[in-house]
Amino acid sequence: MNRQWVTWRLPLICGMLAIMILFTGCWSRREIEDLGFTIGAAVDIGEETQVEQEFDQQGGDYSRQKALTLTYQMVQPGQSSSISGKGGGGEKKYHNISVTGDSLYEDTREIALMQGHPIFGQHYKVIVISDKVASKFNMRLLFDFFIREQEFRPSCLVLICKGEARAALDQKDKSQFPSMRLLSITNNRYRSSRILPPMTLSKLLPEINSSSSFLLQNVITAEDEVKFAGAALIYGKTGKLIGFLNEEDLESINWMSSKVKGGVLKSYDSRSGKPLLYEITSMKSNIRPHINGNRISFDIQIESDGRLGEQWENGNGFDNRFIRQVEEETVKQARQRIDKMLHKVQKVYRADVIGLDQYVRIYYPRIWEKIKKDWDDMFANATIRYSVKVNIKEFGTTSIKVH
Amino acid sequence: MSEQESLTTHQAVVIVSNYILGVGILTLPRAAAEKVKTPDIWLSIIIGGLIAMLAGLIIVKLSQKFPGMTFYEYSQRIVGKWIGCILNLIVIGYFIAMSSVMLRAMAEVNTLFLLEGTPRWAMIIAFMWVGIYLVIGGLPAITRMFEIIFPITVIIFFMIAVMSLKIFDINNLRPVLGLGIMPVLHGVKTTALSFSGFEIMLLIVASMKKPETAKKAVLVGIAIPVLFYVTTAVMVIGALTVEGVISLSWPTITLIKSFEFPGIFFERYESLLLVIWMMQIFTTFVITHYAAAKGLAQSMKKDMHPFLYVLMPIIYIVAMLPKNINDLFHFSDSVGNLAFVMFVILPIALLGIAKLRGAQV
Repeated sequence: MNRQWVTWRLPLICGMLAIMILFTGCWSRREIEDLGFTIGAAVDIGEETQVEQEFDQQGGDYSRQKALTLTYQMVQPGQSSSISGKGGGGEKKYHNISVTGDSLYEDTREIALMQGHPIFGQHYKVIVISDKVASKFNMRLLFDFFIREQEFRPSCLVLICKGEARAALDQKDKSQFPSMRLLSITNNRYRSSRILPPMTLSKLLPEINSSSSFLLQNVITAEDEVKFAGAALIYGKTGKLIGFLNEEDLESINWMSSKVKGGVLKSYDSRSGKPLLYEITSMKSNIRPHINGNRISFDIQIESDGRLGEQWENGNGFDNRFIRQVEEETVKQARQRIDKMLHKVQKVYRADVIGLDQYVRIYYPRIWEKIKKDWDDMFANATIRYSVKVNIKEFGTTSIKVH
Repeated sequence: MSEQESLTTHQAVVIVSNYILGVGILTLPRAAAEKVKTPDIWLSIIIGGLIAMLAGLIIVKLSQKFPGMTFYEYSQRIVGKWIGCILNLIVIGYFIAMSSVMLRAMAEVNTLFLLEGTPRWAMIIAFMWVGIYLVIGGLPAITRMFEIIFPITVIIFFMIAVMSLKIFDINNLRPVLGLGIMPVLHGVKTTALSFSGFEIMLLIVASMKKPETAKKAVLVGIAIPVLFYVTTAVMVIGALTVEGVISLSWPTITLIKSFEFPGIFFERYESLLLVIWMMQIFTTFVITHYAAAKGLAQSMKKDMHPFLYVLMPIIYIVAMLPKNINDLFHFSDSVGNLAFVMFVILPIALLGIAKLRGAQV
């Protein structure tokens, strides 16, 4: 019997190995070529595209309300990896496909009727919501699908587009991905303080759950070009968009909440009216809330280091008196902007989008439990004292010297 | 004993740690956040860990009274044949339930995140056969496997933890004890249960080379999962906030999916986490399967191998019982409650009885 085992051993092992190698596989395998890689989505108020209207006429209609139009940006299969020499750059690397309906999930699956490659959302980069949709629907309901579906990445960036959202997913230079461009702009915070720190789906979820007011980066479009322009204001209690802050307001909010990585601040010389430009290299703020009975107040110290970047006025950078003067003008300018912004968020919109609620929660946790429901109203009546300090550390390689 | 089972202290530590680490890595932050509702979850976890250590010490103490014997053997000597037999059956039932919960959780997570089209039975059966291949080798084979898996888990886990610093915000963890200690204590039951696994000391003290070091082994064996769980909770809450975590079914996976490092070749780091998690599920499954079979064998004074095969269909059926994911969570909670009674209260009682009966035992 022992000998028998020895003679059979080799074929047996070979057979086992063959089975292991030949029969190994993945049950849920999907070839990468067969995936419809989707990198962006846009949600608009329901308005059927030309194609859809024709589909409907041909009998492609189904039971739905035309409430929303969902647009997906799909990577053109086989094109994404091709060498750029082939099409000479004129080749479109992506195509956008729109579906109208009242369920975002159904819309997504409807695409499986039109495309060889159904939506594959694991490489999602950006979701753009049109301002009309955001002011009509509660964010919680609107994002339910995107947050729930495990295929979509929570690292996906959320943007608001004033106007038609799908326009933000189109651009003239067809050889690049519009979604990627939107994403890259958020990386430019070291050059501009007018960009909101990226609001991803995973950061959106706690804001929605706690019914707090928050900002979403706003995008505007013109002739296939985009620009980040201020922020949309989402009101906590209703979860809807209630208004916009312009670039300068957004900038002031970023200053206050120390979310600045870089940027410039232009002021005008009070005597000559000529522009002076201060470049921010660092900016810190220190926020301390105080609660006295029913009165809530905040002390905010903003301090910034930077350099004199540009001057349209005669003045000697080597002279500290001139430097002090520029610092004063800059502070004056900053205060004006902040005052304007505070008036807007406290008196006009009455919504705490600066994120001061965090500090009340941290410093007065017990009181916070009682007031968190009405925080936005409390915020509107809170006193906000702030100080701005600007230190010009240097002025670049030259300074205008007038003899 | 036919198998040559003798464990070093290190091996005992690895077995305890591997057994404890399991589903908790993915779900504990939410389970604890639901109860605590403040960012102090990590404190609950530490307190839970301390309670588990205390319970572990009692079990060790009990086992040390009967050198070379497992719980299944000495239970009858403490409380008599019949009650001892019933106790053994309950413990065996617990191990079977635990084993099934692991299998099902593995299947659920896999279906959701990795293998969309693969039927659950296919995953579970493949998992079980690999498991039985290991268990047949007895405790020495299991231990060696655990020793391989453990360092891989540590390395990948802490690598992912460091990566998630990218979206970490310390303000989300403040204030510490803002609402006092009460919320923290609310969560302790949940967190303490997540450390169930130290009960394996009921069996393995008997196989240790130096049973007198078993106390150290159980303390270190629990301290390691405490470190894992605290890190997980701190990273998850720090990135996703308490409000966010409460509504996530698998918060840790969401955390890993929430950041990207452009430029690095691949983006989906959650696959790394799922790999180590699956290995941890495997270790828990294997050791519970072993413990159940060993229990049956020792209660009936027979060889263990046939029982391993007999248990397979039972574990499979129990694993398929929960109808949906909520059922699974509930089932897992009840198993945890059973663990509390069996491995915290019962050992104290047994230890008391054993002390009272003194010389007779």
